[in-house]
Amino acid sequence: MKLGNYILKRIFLMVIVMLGVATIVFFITHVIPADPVGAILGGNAPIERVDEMRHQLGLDKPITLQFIDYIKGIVHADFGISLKSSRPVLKDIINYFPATIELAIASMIFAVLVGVVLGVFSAIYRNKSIDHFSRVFSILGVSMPVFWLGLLLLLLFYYHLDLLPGGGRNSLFIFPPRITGFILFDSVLMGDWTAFWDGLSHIILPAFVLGYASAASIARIMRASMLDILRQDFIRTAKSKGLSKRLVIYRHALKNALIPVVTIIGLSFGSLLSGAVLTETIFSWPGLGRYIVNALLVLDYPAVTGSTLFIAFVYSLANLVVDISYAALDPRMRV
Amino acid sequence: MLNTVRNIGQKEKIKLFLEQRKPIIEDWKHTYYLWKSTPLAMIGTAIIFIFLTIAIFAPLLTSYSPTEQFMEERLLPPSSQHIFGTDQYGRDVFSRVVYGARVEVWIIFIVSIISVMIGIVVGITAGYFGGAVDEILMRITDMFLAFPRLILAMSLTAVLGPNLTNTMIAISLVDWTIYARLGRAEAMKVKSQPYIEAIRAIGAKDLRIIAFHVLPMSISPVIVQLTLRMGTIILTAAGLGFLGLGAQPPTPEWGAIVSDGRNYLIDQWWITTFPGIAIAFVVLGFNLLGDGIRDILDPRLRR
Repeated sequence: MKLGNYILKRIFLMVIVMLGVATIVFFITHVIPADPVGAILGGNAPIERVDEMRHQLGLDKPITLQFIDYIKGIVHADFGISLKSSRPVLKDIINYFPATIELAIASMIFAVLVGVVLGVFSAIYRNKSIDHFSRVFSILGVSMPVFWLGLLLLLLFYYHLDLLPGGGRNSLFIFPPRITGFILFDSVLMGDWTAFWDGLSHIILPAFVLGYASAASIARIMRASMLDILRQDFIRTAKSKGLSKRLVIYRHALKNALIPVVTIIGLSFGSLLSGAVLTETIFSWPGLGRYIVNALLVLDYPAVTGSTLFIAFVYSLANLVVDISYAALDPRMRV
Repeated sequence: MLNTVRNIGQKEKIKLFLEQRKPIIEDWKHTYYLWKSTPLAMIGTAIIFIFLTIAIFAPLLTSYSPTEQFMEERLLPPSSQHIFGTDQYGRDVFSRVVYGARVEVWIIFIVSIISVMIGIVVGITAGYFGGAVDEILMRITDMFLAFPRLILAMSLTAVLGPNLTNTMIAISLVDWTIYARLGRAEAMKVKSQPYIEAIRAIGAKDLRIIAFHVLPMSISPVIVQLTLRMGTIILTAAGLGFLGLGAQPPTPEWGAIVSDGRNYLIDQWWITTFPGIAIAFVVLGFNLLGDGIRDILDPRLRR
């Protein structure tokens, strides 16, 4: 299949899947809840208030009409008004999303650096102490609950050592410039170094906590793939040609061993978004993850619908990009 | 043939039985040998064994109730009376953690059953019948895979009403997709075998072929995958509990206990620390065991 056709086919499939996703979200927010208004207003609300609320949410219409309205809204990127913040949900999402992306990117950078370095070294020095350290590091990384690790690190670095700030994206009296919404990027752009260092000190702990699990899985994959490559014939040939060990490892082996890691980076994105929910809650990080949790806790249905759909869309888009870049690299994937 | 078998003595019967199953027994012996030579898998098994023992014998391990409140004994540090201390309601943290093991075992058990059942039914149906059925079922699977796991699970629990039962339902509704894909792959493999064609030629119906031939072949990879995922099930349940969108107090679910102690973290570190260690420990056990299983089943190692 030609790459262009493949991309078209994948985009078409994604549109179908997104329609299904929208239907699932509709079920979650419109069909399952027995009494959303009761949940919002409480059991003792006066009848007029309940009716008004039902009308406001469009719940007095038949379910098919509700579904049509809902799909219409999505097509126009209109998710309604948040019951809690009384602002359009889309505005809220645009407001909160950069924080999540910034955190996800920082964690990914951390995870790739640490994971690749540890994986390569533990493959080269197999069964030496660095290998043992890296394996312990990885197995702990995939076993430790994110929220618990976050709490303990906060206790240690914020409360006991007072090295790092306790939460949020910036300190109370520092007002980072806002252009794109990415604090670190914006402050570099404006040359505001105080805001930059402040933002950096705030992102270290959450990025570590969120990226740890990904770093662990990258280190494991990197180790396995590096060991696999080092065993192959072309490496032996390169060595027997008299190339230095360093050249063989970095020029020949590492390049090939990195391919599976690219997959893992793509796949990690979903777990990063899931992990962001917990990390943002612990570090009071004003991102979309915390926004969803707060919306769910008070059953703010428009906000839940909008943000869940948005996250699913971003996630599917990321997977699509990974698949397409894969297909571009390796024609065998285009099936 | 049947008569001769019936006429021989009990001992002979056992001998014959063993004789017939020699290859399987040899295989198991080899597996045992591989397991013994993978120390990490042994540690994992030991951890899981301890976890299950604690869950089963919970009432014998502690004399305190996990839910009864003693306000005059609140926030006591660990001592010989309360080895993990007490929480803000005077409940013994140790007995909450110990009884929590029961909750976690229950979650793993129910989630495994529901998710494997849905996954197997969807997967085998898709793989066996193929064509349009396959296309539709797999697209539905994709729709569920389009959500980050935790986000779908927490939306479901929040809307169904956050409690233990709904947590288990929600995690199952997120987890079945993996087994569906596995079951489908396995069903497609089995269906194209010549012996299936032979059975069909004799006149076996689809349902019979699925139940007696495709299903048994698909079960073992699913079981392997299930053991690999048990750690993740606990982490998801604990994450939901921690967010307040899972098991609710006073249910001693480990994630919920960690969340209970959150506001007391600075001075009463024990409420949060011990259930967290319990989660990490058990998930570690499942991961070590899962890694071991993967190594043991690796055909390159088996040879």
